[in-house]
Amino acid sequence: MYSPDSSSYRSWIARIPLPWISVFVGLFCGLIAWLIIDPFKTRELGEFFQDDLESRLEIRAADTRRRFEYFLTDLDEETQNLAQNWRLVRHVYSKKWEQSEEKTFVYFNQPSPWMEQGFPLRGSVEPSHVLLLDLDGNPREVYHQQDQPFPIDLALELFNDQLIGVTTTLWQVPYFITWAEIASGAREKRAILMLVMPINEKFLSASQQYAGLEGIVIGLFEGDQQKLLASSEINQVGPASHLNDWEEEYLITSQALALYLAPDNNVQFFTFVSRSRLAAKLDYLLSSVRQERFFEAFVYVAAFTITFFLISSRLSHILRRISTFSHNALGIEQKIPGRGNQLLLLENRLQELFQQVSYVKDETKVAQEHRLRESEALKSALLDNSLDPIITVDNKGLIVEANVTAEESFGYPREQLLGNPIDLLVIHPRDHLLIREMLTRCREKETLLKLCQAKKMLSIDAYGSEKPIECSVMPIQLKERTVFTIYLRDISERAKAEKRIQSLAKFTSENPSPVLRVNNRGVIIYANIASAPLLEYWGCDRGQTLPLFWRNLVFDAMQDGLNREHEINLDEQIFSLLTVPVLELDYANLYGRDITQVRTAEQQSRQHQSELVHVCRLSTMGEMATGLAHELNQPLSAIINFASGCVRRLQTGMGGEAELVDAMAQITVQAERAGEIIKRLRALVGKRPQEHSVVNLNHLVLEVASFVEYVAEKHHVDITLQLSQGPLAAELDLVQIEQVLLNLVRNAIDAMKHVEIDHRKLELVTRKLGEDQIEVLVKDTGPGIPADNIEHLFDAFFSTKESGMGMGLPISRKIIESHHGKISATSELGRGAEFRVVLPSDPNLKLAGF
Amino acid sequence: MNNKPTVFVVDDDQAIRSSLKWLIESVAMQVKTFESADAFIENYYPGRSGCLLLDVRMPGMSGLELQEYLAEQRITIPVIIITGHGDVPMAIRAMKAGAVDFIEKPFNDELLLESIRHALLLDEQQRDKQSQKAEIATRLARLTPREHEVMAMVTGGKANKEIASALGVSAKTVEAHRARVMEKMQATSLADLVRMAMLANITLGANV
Repeated sequence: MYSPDSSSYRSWIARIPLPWISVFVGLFCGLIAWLIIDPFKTRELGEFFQDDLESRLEIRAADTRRRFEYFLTDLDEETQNLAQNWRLVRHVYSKKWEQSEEKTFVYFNQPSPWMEQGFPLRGSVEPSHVLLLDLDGNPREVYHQQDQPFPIDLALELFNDQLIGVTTTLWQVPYFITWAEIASGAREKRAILMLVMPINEKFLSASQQYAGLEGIVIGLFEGDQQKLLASSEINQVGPASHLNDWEEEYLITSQALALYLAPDNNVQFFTFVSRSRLAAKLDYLLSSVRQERFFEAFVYVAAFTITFFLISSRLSHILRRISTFSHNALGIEQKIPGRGNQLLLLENRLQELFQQVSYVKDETKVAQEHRLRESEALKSALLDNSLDPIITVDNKGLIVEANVTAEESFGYPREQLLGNPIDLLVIHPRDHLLIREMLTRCREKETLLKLCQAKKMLSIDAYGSEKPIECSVMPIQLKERTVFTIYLRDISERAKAEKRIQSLAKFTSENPSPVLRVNNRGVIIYANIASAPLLEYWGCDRGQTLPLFWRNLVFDAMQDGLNREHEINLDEQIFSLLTVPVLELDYANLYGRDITQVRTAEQQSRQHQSELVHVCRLSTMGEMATGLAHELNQPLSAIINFASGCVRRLQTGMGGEAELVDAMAQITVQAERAGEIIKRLRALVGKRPQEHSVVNLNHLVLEVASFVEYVAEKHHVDITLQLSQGPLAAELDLVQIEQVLLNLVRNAIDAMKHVEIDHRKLELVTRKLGEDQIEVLVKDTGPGIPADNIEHLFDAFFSTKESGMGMGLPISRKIIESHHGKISATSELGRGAEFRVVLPSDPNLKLAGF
Repeated sequence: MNNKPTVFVVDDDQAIRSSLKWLIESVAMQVKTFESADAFIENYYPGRSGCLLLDVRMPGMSGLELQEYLAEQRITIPVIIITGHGDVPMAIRAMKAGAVDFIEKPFNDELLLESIRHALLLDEQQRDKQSQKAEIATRLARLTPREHEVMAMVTGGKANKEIASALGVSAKTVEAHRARVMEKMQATSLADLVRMAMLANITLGANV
C-alpha cells in the first residue's frame, strides 16, 4: 500500500482541484521549455546578428571612404570654381609676375586680399595654405595660417606632375592639395590657384557631414608603419598612435584610397567602430527579439493552459460525478469532499473499490479455502474415522491412499501400504483373482461410475490373521486417470451376527414342534421340518394354501386379533395348533404342540382311574387294605393341613375371606375324595354277583400282559407270550379271571426282584387241554417255592412278602373254583415257579366280535 | 430372588401340595411346590436357603432317590421326609441318608411346623458355617507356607520355644510369625485362632 508520507503527500495533492494543477503544470512546462530554448535561441540569433552587423559595418566603412573621396572631389571642383572668382582674376591680372624674376611673396597670417571673408568651401573647411602659381608652376604668392610655409618644391613638383587633388603628408600631418587655373573668360590663363587643406578632425567630420558618424571614428593612417595620421575624434583616438593599439576597443576596417593619393605615400583610410557600442547594439537587438519571443511564448502557454484548465475542469466535473456514483455504489458512508483533485479522489475511490474487491476476493478465497479445508478435514475425518478400511488404488492396483482404519486393521504402517499392490498386501491369496477381476470389471464400466457389487472375500493382515470382508469397488474418474476406492468392510461381526440370526432361525427350524407362518391369504410361507406330518396330513406344501377350515381359522384370528388353539388329530399324533395373528405384518404364526403324549397320558390316567377300580376289584384284600390306607391318607392329610391352615389364619387374623372359603372348599373336595375311596372299598368288599360272558382267553392274557408291561419293564422282567393258535373261548366273569391272572403275574414279578436282571423271565402260555378245557400257565424264573410252602400257598393270611396280607392266592383259588376250574403251583427250587389255571371251555361258544 | 428361606415341597399329590402350601404359608413362610423329584431338580438353584419337604413314595424318582441325588451333588439343604406308610426300614434309610426328620401322614400341624423351623435354623447355621469356612479359607490362603506351619503348631498347642526349635529359628522369629498369623487370620485371641483352625479342618499339630 502507501507509506504514510506518500499518502499525506497524496492527500495534500488531493486537496488541490484538478484545473489548478493543470494550470500549474502548464506554466511550469512553459517555464521549463523557455529555460531550455531561450539560451539556445539567443546564441543563434546573436551569431546571426553579429554577422549581419559586421557586413553592414563593412558597407558603412566603404560608404564613409566613398563620401570622403566625394568630399575631396567636391573640394577640387569648388577650387575650380574659386579660380573663376572675379576678385582673384582681377588680382592676378593686376600683377605682372613675368617681369619680376623668381620672386615669391609670402604672406604669413594674412588673409589673401581677394578672399577676405574666407573661402566658401564646403564644410567650412579652411585651407591652411593658399598658393598662387604662375603658369610655370612657380609659386608667386603664398598665404598661410600655419607656422610652416608650404614647401615650394612640392608645389612645383605637384604642378609638374599634373597632379590634381593629392593627399600627402607634410610635417606628419596629412594634407589635401588641389589647384585650378585662373582664367577669366576668354582671357588667357594667368595663374594657378593652389589650396592646401590639412586633413584634420574638422575636415574629416565635414567629409561625412550629411551622413553623420554616430560613434564611428574615421581617419587616415600610414600604411607602412600602421600609424594613425588623423582621426575624426582626436579625443578618442589620438593621432600618432599605432593602429594595433585600438583593435581591442574598436572594430577596425582599413581601405586604400584609390584617388588623390600622392605617389610616394601609402596613406590608407580607416573606420573605427566602437566594439562596446556594437555590443550594445547587438544586445539591444537581441533583447528586442527576445521580448518578442517571450511574448509569443507566453501567448502560447497561456492559450494551452487555459485550454487545459477548461478541459480539466470539465473532466473534474465528470470525475466527481463518477466518484459520487461509485461512492453511492460502494455504499460508503463517509462524505466525499466536493473540492480537490477529483482524479485522485476517484483514484482513491477506485483504490477503495479495488481494495474492497480484493478484500472481498481474499475473504471469499479465504472462506472458500476455509470451506475447502473444512470439507477436506471433514472428509478426511470421515475417511479416517470410518469403521471400515478404505483404500484407494490406481489403475494397476497399487495403493495410492489408505485411511487410518486400514492401517490399523491390516497392521501396516501407511508408508508400507502406499505404492504396494492391494491384492498382495491385504487380500487372502485365495481371493486374489476375485479382486483383480472386480477391478477389471469396474475399469470396463468406468463410465457408469457405479459401485461395483460388493463381494465377500477374505482379508489377511500383517500378522497373517484372516478376516471375512465385504469388498466393494468404486471407480473415481480424476482428470487424467481413474482410481478405485475400495471399501473393505469387516464382516466378521456381521458374519457372527448372521450366524446368530441363523442360529436364532434354527429355533424355529430345529424346533421339534411344528411352526408355520401363514399370510393373510392362507398361504403357507414358512413351515419348519417338524411341520412335515401336518403338511402331509393336509396334503399341501409350502407356498400353497391351507385347507379351508384352517384358512378360515386364520382369517378369523386375523380379524379379531385373538389367539386360537385347536386340536388336530392325525393318525398317529395329536397336535394342538395355536394360531397367533401378527396383525402389523399381516400374517399369522401357527405353533403346533405334539400333545399325543399328553392325550395318551390323559387317556392312561383315565384308564388308570378305571384300572384303579379294576385293581381294587382285582386286588386281594391285603393289597387293597395297604393301598386304601395310602389312598385315604392323602385326602385326610390334605384335610388336616387345610383345616390347620385355616385355624392358624383365623387365629392370626391373616388371610382373606375368599381365600379361607377356597380352603374350606378344598377340605370338602378332599373329604369327598376320601368318601369316594370308602365307597369303592365298599363296592369291592361287598358281594358282587358274577357276570359271565364269553371271552377269548388269549385276549384276556394279552390285556393282562399289557397292563403289567410297565411294571415288568421297571423290574427288568422279560415277558414272553406263547398263545394258542386260534381263540380260546370260555364263558367266565371277565373281571374276576383278570384279577386272578394279574395276581399271578404280579406275584411272579415280585418273586424275581432278587434274581439277576438277565434272568428275570416271565412266560405266559395259553393252550387247549382237550375239547372242553383250556389252560393258562404263568412261569417265572424266581427263586422258586420251597416244598413246605407250596402246601400252604392257597391258605388265607399266608404270605412271604413284606407288605403282603396273604389274601391273594386264596381269593384266586376261590374265584377259579367258582368257575369250575383248578389252580395249582409247581416249583423247582432255585429255578422258578409255575402256576397253572385250568378252566372249562365249550367249543360251541360264539365269541363276540369274531 | 429374595433371601427369605423357602420351604420346598415335593409331593405327587396335588391336594397334599396345595394343602401344605396353605398350612405353611399360614405362618408366613415362603413355599414352593413341585409335583415330582425331577421337577424339583430342574427348578432348584443350589444355594437357595430353605428346607425340603419330601414325599417318599412318588412315581418316577422316589424321595429317597432324590435324597441320594442331593447328597451326590453336595447340596446340603435339610430334608424332612413325609410318608403315608410308616414303615420303619424306610425311615431308617431316610435318616441315615441325612434327613432331618421323618413325619407320617396325616401330620400334626404343630409338629410339622416345628420340624420345618428346626430345619431352617439348621440350614442357616450350615450356611453360616459354610461362609465362615470360606472366609477362613481365604484368610488362610494369604498365609505364607511358614506362617501356615506356625499356625498349625500354635493351634496344636505348641509353645513358641518348641516351635522355634522344631523349625530351627529363633523364638523371636516365631513370635513375629505368630503375630502376623493372628493379624492375617483376624483372630482376636488364641482361642479364636483355634476355633478357626477347627472349622477349617487344619490337622492340628500334624507335622510335629
